[in-house]
Amino acid sequence: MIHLSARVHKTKEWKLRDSKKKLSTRIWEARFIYLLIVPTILYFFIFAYLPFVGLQIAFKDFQIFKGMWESPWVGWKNFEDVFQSAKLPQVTINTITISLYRLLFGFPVPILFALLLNEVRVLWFKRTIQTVTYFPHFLSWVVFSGIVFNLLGPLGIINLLLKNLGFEPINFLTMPEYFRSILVVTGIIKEFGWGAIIYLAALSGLDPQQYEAAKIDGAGKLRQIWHVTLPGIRPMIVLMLVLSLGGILDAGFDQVFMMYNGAVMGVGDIIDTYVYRLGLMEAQYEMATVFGLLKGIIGFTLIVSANAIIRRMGEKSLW
Amino acid sequence: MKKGKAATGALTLLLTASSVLGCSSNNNEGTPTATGSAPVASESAPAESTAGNANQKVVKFSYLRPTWGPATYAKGGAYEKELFKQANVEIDVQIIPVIDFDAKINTILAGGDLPDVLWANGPLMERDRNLQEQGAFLPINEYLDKYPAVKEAVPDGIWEQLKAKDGNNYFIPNLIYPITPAPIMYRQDWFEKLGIAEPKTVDELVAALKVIKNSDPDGNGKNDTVPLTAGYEWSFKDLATAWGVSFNGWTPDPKDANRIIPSIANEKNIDFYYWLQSLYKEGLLDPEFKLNKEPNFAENKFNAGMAAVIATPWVSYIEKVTKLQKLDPNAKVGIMSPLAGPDGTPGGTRSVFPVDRGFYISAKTKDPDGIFRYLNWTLTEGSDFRRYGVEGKTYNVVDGKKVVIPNEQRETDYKGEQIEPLHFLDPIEEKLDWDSLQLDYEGAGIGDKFAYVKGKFAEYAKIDYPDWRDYTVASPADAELGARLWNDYLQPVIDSAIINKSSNKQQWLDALKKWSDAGGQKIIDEVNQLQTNKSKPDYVN
Repeated sequence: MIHLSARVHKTKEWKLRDSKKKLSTRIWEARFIYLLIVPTILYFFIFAYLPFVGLQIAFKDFQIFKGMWESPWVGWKNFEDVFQSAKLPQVTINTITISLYRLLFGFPVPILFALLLNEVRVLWFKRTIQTVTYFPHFLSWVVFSGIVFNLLGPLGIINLLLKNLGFEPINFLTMPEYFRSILVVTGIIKEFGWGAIIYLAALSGLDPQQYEAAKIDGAGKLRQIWHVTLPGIRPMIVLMLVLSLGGILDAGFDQVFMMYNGAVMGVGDIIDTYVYRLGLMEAQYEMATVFGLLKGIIGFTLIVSANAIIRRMGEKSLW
Repeated sequence: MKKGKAATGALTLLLTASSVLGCSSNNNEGTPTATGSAPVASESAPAESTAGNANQKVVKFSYLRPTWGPATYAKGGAYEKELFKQANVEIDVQIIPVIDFDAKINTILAGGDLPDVLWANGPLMERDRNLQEQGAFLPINEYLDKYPAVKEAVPDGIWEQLKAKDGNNYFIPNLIYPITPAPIMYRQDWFEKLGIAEPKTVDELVAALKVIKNSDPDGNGKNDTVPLTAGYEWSFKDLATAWGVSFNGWTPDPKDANRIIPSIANEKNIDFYYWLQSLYKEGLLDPEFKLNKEPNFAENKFNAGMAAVIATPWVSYIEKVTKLQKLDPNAKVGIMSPLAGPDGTPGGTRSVFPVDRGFYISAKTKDPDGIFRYLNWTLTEGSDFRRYGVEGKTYNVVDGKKVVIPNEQRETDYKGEQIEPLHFLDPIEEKLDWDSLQLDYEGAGIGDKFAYVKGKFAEYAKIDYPDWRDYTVASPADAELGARLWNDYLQPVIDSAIINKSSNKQQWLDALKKWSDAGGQKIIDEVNQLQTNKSKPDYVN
């Protein structure tokens, strides 16, 4: 007893003393902890913040060889050009539509999958399914779109089936009415297994006592999921939702670029593919930078506002 | 015309054309001259020079170039070692598959860290003209005077056309022969089996394709042979001449002979696109056309006996016959003569500007003289090595003549894809050298076909449908607006014209009107105003 109280006392004393120390001293005392975070800070500084200086290209007449510092300023001219672009409304609408579809249909899938997987009691089966479903995440879209082409292409497996069953073949990939669905569905297939990992982690952190309590109260499986599991992972769901709202203007460049073609460009051309064609293929770097800057600003605004809304709703927010 | 289109078109075409040329020149690459015996690959790095350049130090430089062949180049191969040893160089090569060339080169340029020698599109393109003016590249005139073999490899007229405003030359062009027919090739054995006579007109072609669609020429029990395939729209450049069209080119305005208009504004060209669309709709044109992103899918399909007819560069004939005969010894490949159009217009070929890209030397390079010394070597002492390669590895001597070994029969280190990345400049006289082509045909075991192919070439070359625009005359409006206007208004409709079944001519005309109002008309007017010489170009003579 004496022992214990002495220790409590000691700790308090130590804390008191600690806060009186100068900041620099405290940092020095915890220097090894700080050392651990240095690589992270460096990483973000070099790869996320340093490139900000390149944003000046959006306000310049960029001349490749002179470099961005020597290129002359042109004010808002590049922005005016971008807003005059006749394609801008179309690619913006396509981008947002595709993103919203992804959110609407794609966002719940990993959650449902994680819930299902969480109920599996045979460990080897659970592990196998998990591995199989997250494997496609590691394939690049170049490879995965090749697989999609072999399935849905004019000479693909589905058309082979249709033909042998006596139907007319359907050229899915050239039909604007199917293209966005194909994007969304193949995107979900590729990523849902990977997306479920974070929810599975959250699920494993739930307190088993709550389930026991629910059972004693007479809750069946579905009730348990509804009243224990879902509320338990709600903070994680909300967090992921905020993050995906920030990426609403990223409709998936790799995938669209690999899968689109002239016939579906009207519904499939997104901001990023347009910027790629104009900015990189035609060397209009300024325009590409303007788009990048605008996308960044919009994405930032969306994250901040979504976060604010969520905080007001009383959920755990990002910050 | 919007530069985008013209440039992309020109590049695509060059791409196709040069893929052919690329292949053929691969076959001509490389071997040693000095020793008569087959050279042994040296194990050591080429530090020590051979007798000829004993007193010069090793020339070292970095080199960035596109490759048309498979991108499987590996540093340090036997051919490379041999070249380095003989020429006393060390070249640090970086390759870009040609399909990604524009995007990659733009990224590398924007990065500002230029290799010593790099390929680019040249001063006919706005970006490169700007770079020249900004001082990114080395003016080469003094070196051309010092190393006349390099200067003589390129015709004076072309040096003149590539000259910058300041009177200097910066760009060393990759020459191509302006006549590169893209004929229609077909499985002659299948046509004979089905009793189809060789088509003489596009209507007869359509009739033949219909017969093929509804029959089983390869005898596999299914009517699954693709009637007509092609890798790109550009593959149809010579078929388009049957409509009187210069594909992706400018031609005289039918309403005003003193004006030229781009193909996008040419009704005949629009008709040609929708004619292709009708083939696509009827299942006569490969359903994978413009969908399959594998660059060689059409060639592969034809070479594997899955397609009956293909629009393809004429230089691919050897490869087609040899590959097909491996599968089916009775396979025969025919070349259709230029087809007559729907209104009887005689077909011909769509010639091209005789330069397909080329390379610059960076202004910051340390040893420009060494680079030119090396280029000079490849055109003098090293000429045979550049052209034929290594005896016993890339060519054999038969009756005193160097006969190229077909790529499939070479050791890995001596295949074209290992040699192409180390290639620089071929003189103009090698660009269409019938004697050496004949040896290629003989080397591939189809020497009896040489006269046939040469005859077809002549038939195509008879009528030329060139691009009337002179790209050495820059259009500032095109440079400023072209790319965006093309992307905003025309590309959506033109890219979908063939494969989108609901696309129609009226949509094209509507898009053209919008393009025109948004600044396209300004580009056409400016080109016409600045280009005073509107006579028909003749690149051959």
